Amino acid sequence: MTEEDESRWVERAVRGDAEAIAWLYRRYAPAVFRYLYYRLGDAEVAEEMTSEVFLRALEALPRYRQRGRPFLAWLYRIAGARSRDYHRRCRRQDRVMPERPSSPPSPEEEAEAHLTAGELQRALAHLTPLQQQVIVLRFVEGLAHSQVARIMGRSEGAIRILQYRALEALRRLLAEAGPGEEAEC
Amino acid sequence: MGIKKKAELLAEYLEGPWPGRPEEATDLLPLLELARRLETVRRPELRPEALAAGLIRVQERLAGRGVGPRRRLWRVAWALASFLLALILGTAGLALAAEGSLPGEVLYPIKRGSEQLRLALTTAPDLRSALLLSLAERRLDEVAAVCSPAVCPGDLLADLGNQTEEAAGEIERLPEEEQVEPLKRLVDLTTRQQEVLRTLLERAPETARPGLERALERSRQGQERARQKLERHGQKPHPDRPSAPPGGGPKHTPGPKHSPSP
Repeated sequence: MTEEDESRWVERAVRGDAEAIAWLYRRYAPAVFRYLYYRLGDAEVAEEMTSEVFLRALEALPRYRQRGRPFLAWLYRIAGARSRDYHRRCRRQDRVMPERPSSPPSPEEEAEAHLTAGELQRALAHLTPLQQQVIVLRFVEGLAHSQVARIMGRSEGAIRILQYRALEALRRLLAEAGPGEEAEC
Repeated sequence: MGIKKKAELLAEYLEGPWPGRPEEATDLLPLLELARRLETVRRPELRPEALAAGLIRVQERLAGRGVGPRRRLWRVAWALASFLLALILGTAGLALAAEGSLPGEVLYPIKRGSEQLRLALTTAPDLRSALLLSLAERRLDEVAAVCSPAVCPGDLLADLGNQTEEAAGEIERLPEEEQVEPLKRLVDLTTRQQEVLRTLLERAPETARPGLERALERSRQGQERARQKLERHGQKPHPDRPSAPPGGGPKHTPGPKHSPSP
């Protein structure tokens, strides 16, 4: 699908077209979920919050203006704000959320990967939000540097440096981390 | 090697072929290895039932809040209706305020505009002739109110004659049996016109006379035609108030004689 195609769907959605809104939801909800999963560390909460992100987007859609950035970038911004709110609430409640990946990978997959989604999430939780985002977009979503740069609204050079620092930090964290730590809310 | 150079090189290796073990990439190897591991981490997927449930929530909100074009259309319609209502009320209020205005006053053009609008909207010949007679009576009242022997606006005198002739023309278009009453009203109007105009003319200086004389002559001609028609209908109009030549008739001081509410 070209950017023009996406732009047409977005235009229709801005005008309140239910079919276009459903199309955008089906296309981007999985990516928003993964982003939230790595920010929150809880699949159930990430699922719930994914639909909340789209409800927020629905409220704001009439005011949305296309300015050359992907629609997904706007959704990530809403998701980022929602996850920050969530973390703030959690800190106030001071409660510990149990680790709960969306569905546990099989032992074969674990053995092959040497790094589980849960381990990655726990390590990511110690990175800055920008570092988290660049890791998720580059290595989970598999996007190129140029695509990540457009989504995050930064230059490719800045993204490369961000990626380097994020990988350095992640390598240190994974080397230090003990097994079985629980993800905090 | 600086951080920028390292970051560029790392990005190059990540998007290009595996570097093997060149000298410059030695300290990047752990990061390349980590990147390879990250790429093999199983991606958490949104469960299909959660995807469907989320879509239902979005669609319910969409239906419940009516963010669609229909609601927007209603908003536009309401805004338009409110604007039109305000416009109508404002215009009506202004027109009402302008009703009592006289030539030369700020609201007078609004009064005349309102009259033209009513005239344009009145198409039935009987109503139209009655309206034109009322408007001609208004002009007469205005002449009586604003004219002095020395000064009387030429366009006001012209309007007086024009509207009287228009009313006469409209009466002629009525069926014969409906013409009698409007013709009597026309004769009465022209009689009063001549009284007012003669009074002005008696004391008018030479410079002001031609306009007044022309208006008087038009009024007399109109009245003569109306009288002849009435006689054809077997009617005798107002024998006690005959038309008279300039200076020869009964004296009347100019002033409002009639306050019509057309």
